[in-house]
Amino acid sequence: MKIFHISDLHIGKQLHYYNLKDEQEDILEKIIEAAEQEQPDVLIIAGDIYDKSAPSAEAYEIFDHFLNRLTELPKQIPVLLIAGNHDNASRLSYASEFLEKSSIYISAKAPVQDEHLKKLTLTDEYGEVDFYLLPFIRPRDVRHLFDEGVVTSYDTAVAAVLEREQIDFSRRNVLVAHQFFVAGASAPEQCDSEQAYIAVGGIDSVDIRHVERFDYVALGHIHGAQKMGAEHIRYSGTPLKYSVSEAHHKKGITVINIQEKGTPLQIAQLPLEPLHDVCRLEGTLEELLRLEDAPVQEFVSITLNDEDGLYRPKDQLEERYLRILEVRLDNARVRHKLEHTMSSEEQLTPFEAFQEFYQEMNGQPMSEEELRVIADVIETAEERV
Amino acid sequence: MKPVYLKMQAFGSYQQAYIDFTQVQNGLFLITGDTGAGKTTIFDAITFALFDATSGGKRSGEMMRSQYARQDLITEVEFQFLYFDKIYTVIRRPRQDKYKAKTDEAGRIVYEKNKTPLGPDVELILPDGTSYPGKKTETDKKIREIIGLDAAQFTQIAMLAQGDFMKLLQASSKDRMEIFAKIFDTRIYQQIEHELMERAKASNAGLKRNEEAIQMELQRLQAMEGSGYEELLEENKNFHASARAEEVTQFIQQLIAEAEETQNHLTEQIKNDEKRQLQLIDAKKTAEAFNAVWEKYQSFLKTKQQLDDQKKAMEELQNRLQLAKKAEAVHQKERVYQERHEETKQCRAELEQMQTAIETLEISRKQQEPIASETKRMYEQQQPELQSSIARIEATYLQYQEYEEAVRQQKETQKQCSVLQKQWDDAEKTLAEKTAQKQTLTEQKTQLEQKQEHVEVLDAAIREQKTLADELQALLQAIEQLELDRAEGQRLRKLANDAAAEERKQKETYNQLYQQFLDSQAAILAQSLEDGKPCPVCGSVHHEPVAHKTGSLVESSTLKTAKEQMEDAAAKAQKANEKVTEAVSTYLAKKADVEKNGQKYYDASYKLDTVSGMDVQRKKENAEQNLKQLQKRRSEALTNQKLLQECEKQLQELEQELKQKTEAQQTIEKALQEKNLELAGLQTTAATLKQQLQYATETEARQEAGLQQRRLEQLKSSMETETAALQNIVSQLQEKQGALQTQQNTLITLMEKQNTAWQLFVQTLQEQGFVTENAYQDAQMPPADIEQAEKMLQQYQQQVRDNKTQLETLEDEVKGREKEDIQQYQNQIAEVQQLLDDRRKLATRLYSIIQTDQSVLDSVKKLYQNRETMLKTNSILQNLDATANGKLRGKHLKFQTYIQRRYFQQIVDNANRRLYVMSGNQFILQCRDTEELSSQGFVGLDLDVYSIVNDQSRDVKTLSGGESFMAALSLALGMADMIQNTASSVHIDTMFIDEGFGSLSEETRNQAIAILNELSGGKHLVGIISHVTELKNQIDRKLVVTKTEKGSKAAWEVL
Repeated sequence: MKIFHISDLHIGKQLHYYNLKDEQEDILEKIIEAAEQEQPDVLIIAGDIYDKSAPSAEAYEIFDHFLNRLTELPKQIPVLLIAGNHDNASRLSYASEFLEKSSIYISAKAPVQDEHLKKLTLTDEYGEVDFYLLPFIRPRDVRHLFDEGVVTSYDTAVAAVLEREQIDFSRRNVLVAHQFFVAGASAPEQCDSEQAYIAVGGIDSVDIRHVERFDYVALGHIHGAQKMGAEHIRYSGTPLKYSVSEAHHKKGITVINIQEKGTPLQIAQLPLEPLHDVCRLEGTLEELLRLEDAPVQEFVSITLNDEDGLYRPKDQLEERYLRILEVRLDNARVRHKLEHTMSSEEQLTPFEAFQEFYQEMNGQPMSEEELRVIADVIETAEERV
Repeated sequence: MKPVYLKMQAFGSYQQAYIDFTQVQNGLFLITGDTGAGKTTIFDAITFALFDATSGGKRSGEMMRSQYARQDLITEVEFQFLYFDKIYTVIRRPRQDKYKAKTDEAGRIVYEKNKTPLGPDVELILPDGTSYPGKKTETDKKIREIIGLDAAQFTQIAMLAQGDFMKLLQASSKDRMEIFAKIFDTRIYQQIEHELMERAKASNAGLKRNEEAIQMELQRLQAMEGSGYEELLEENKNFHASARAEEVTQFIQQLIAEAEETQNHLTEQIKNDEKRQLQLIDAKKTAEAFNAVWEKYQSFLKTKQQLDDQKKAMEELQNRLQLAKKAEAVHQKERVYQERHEETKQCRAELEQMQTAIETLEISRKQQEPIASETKRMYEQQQPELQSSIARIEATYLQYQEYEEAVRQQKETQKQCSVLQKQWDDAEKTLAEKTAQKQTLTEQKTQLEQKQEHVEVLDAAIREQKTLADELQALLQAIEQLELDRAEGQRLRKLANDAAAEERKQKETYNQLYQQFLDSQAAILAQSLEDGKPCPVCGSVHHEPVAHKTGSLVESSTLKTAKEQMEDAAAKAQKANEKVTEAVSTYLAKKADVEKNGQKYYDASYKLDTVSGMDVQRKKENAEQNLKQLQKRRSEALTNQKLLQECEKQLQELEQELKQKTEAQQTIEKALQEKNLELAGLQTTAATLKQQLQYATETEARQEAGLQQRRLEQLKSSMETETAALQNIVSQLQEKQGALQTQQNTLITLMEKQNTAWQLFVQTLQEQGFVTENAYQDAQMPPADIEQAEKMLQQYQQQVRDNKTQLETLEDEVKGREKEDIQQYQNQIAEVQQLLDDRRKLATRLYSIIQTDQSVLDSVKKLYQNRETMLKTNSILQNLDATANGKLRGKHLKFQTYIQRRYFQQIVDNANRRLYVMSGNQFILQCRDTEELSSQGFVGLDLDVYSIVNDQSRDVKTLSGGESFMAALSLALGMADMIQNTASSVHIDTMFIDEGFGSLSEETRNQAIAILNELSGGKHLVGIISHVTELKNQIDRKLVVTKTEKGSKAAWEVL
């Protein structure tokens, strides 16, 4: 069974105030084309479909168009969607029952009372594969399902919920989830576009040991494609670069091929070329203005190295580069300014302080006479205070 | 300062709220809720509790009175917090009206306002549990002391209020200085500034005084007249500080030299003059001596002339002298004669006097004799009569005493009588009262006797009634129970019906299913039918039409289930029916029972249906009422009995009393009668005695006796006096006559002596050669005169002799010379003297000039020396002072500010670490350079924004809203770092931020939250109020504030 695994579309996100509508539409179209070409058996979108909990109308239109295109494909590909921490569960689950008729399965809310996780069973030449959809949950969403004291953290919440499903691990199982998975002490590599999630004690992490037994775990939440502690547990990453720190990421679709139970997975990444790439440039103003084959159309983060003063560098750069994200300056002076005298941390006695002060004000050190006078003055002053 | 809990009562939109912060001692938490739900109020409450102000400073404590609370709830905030691991609690109330809940006539609750409003009050509970003693102002001060900040500073550092976060960012240097001074304790530096300023001032003052001293000294300088330096002197007197010491001293020395020279010259001259003067004086003296001698000689000559003139007179004098001596001898005898003459005269006079005296005495005697005899006669006449009268009176004294005694007794007896009378009257009154009482009581008794009922009879009636009531009650209960049973029976019937219906339904279902089963069996069967092969059911070989699967297949299991269900239902129906039957029979039995009982109280026709329970009820109530009445009567009867007994007892007592009182009265009456008799007897005795007395009282009688006695004595004494006087006169007469005789004899003797003396005098006269007595008289000269004349003669002769000698002596010396001219000498001497005087004056003057100038020189030298030192010190102090107090040209930075700038720099550095990241490396904060500091006002802690890319500084006010928030937040964090690190007395490890995040772009906001999280990852606590939805998703710990009609509620969202 061939699986297309993507996540964190963040439709509607802006990059340094730039509207990414075109880029996002483009990349989604490219995904459709890839699907058309590769003909996967299922498309998994592991959360953070939208960027805000109340997405704009435009965002809705973009995603709407995407789903439409999917359903129009000659071979209908089932789509498995879960809600991420940025999505609003209620909004996302709008018309979910209706959408199921078009093989679009959305799981946005945590199970309540007698419900279980949404499960879809697909068949391939080797048999059935169970797909479990676990949307982003917080401990309080699932606490009521268990006795008191069972769910005390994200980790225990996820563990308990999975336990409750009583999954038959003799079958082939795939889990789609959107949490902060870690492998023991090692955490995934993060980048700037991920929102810092402030949980109690900062512990929103879930250990991978609770999900190791799945044949494949399709994760979302982290924006850089990577495996997490094991080959079959992967974050697919975002399809587009959403911050300058991702400039070096390789964005694409994670393609998984599951075969017989017990055989290793075939893992590949199908690269996605964005409409406009995000890259970094560094050099002096002159250099950059005269650079050949400069990425003038791309999103650039420019760092200037000039030592001398520059006259309105941003304006000059904007004449050449169309999509400047930021202009920074990094030269000796700036570095010096930033490293500013931390020596002023030491505590000086009034006597020493005055000497320094005098030196700075008068441009010369104090004479013997003056030192004597000051010492006396300081003594008197200390008595008075 | 970490919050522990916050309690709000009737504060803002909260009626009652309790927020527990113990779970959020560090880290980030969010306060979220709709607009106006009451989020900012929580911060207001904290600020109010601590500082009696609100976070934005716009609402006052009084405005915070809740409109949702019941009016009699007091607005109060209780805030407990941890500070340096110690727990403090603050309870504060704003000024407010006090209400009391009252119920009005309609039964509604209204709130009445007290006249005096409750004043603002605060209570601070210290870590040891005691309450801080002190009034509001002191407690507020203590709280500020503990926290180390006041409201304004707190809201700039730790509580960034809505719309106000830019306070610290945009504060003036002066405001920042105050905050820093508080936090970093830079007082010592300020003191150093002050000290330097004082010393510089003092040094300046010293210099000035030195100048003045020098000036004063120079004023004293003097130059002599005609000095060549007079101009310069004037110049130098106006001393300029710029005048150098050497010039001045040199000049003074010149003056002195000049004066000294002149002085020496003068001294020479004076010496010469003095010599000359002495010479002149000698010459003059010699001339004068000669002149004196010459004068003397002239005067001797004059004397001689005078003496010659006097010669004749002197001779005459001599003659006279001789005559006088002769007369002296005569004079002696004359004196003797005169003495004798005088004596005689005197004797004669005395004789005459005596005679006169005797005559006078004689007359007196004649007068006195008759008087004496008269008095004697009177006395002898009256004496016997008076004596007897006196004796008579004295005899009656005793009688008077008796009478008086009688009168006294009478009076006493009278008194006793009246007392007794009064007693009798009182007794009469009491008797009357008691009789009346007796009457009343008797009447009462009669009444009571009439009312009395018997108690026992009543008791019996009561018992009867009670039994009746009880039985009726039982009956009533039974009837009610029957009702219940009937209803129950009906219910059971219904259930049975339901069960039956259910059973029917199940049966139907089962039948259907069975049919279907059969059908499907048929269909299944039909499927396996093959044309030509016989059907196992009917055996035919043609199978048209074939049964089709209609609908879904029914399994045999399904059928079995249905059958079971049906049987189940049937059983249930059966049971229900049984229950109904049972109930009905029970009910009927009970009913028969009740009817039988009922017949007792009604008649035999009593049927449950005919007589209602209401009736029975009524009957029962009647019985109960009767019972009550009977009981009442019984208790009344008891009471009555008691009263009657009381009454009788009282009557008896009264009788007793009456008897006693009457007896007493009679006794009194008898006594009274006796006394009256006694009185009458005494009166008679008194009257009898009185008659016998002559006088009214004894005293009068005694008086009379006394008078008479005195009269007697008077007579006696006058007689004796007159007789004595007569005797006196007689004896005097005899004396006088004896003296007279003696005197006459003396006279004769004296006359003889006088004659003898006269004869002697005449004799002497003739012996001395005086012819007549007149010539003798003329020649007389007093002895003093004689002496004098002799002396004069002697003197004259001596003078003549002296004069002669003198003339002889001087003749030689004076011969031929004339008098000398003294005046010339005199003039010359005077001239020289004048010269001397002038010169001497000048010399003195010069001396004084020199002395003065010398002393001036000495002092000036010393002063100049001082000045040297002072100038040196002064320049140092001036420099230090200018440096420390920001008075250097172009550098208006004070020492304290410099130090604060260091701190400030550190704070800005700390702030920049975050701002650099948050602003995407675009800008950082910067302390304004010292060169660019304005010269006006207080500067030094001004803040600029430095744009990295453009390498330009601009004022912080040029930042946009979002940028300002970033900068303000960074600054607050930087400040928090500093405060943390410099172990200062202020310990702020909590930060509250009210909104502001909405103005940030998404990326910036993310970064800001990341930074805050990192900060709070340590020991810091950061509380944020925001309505931004993303933050709600991002931050787990939330305090959700909701608003209802009953006010706001705040609750932690459960994880």
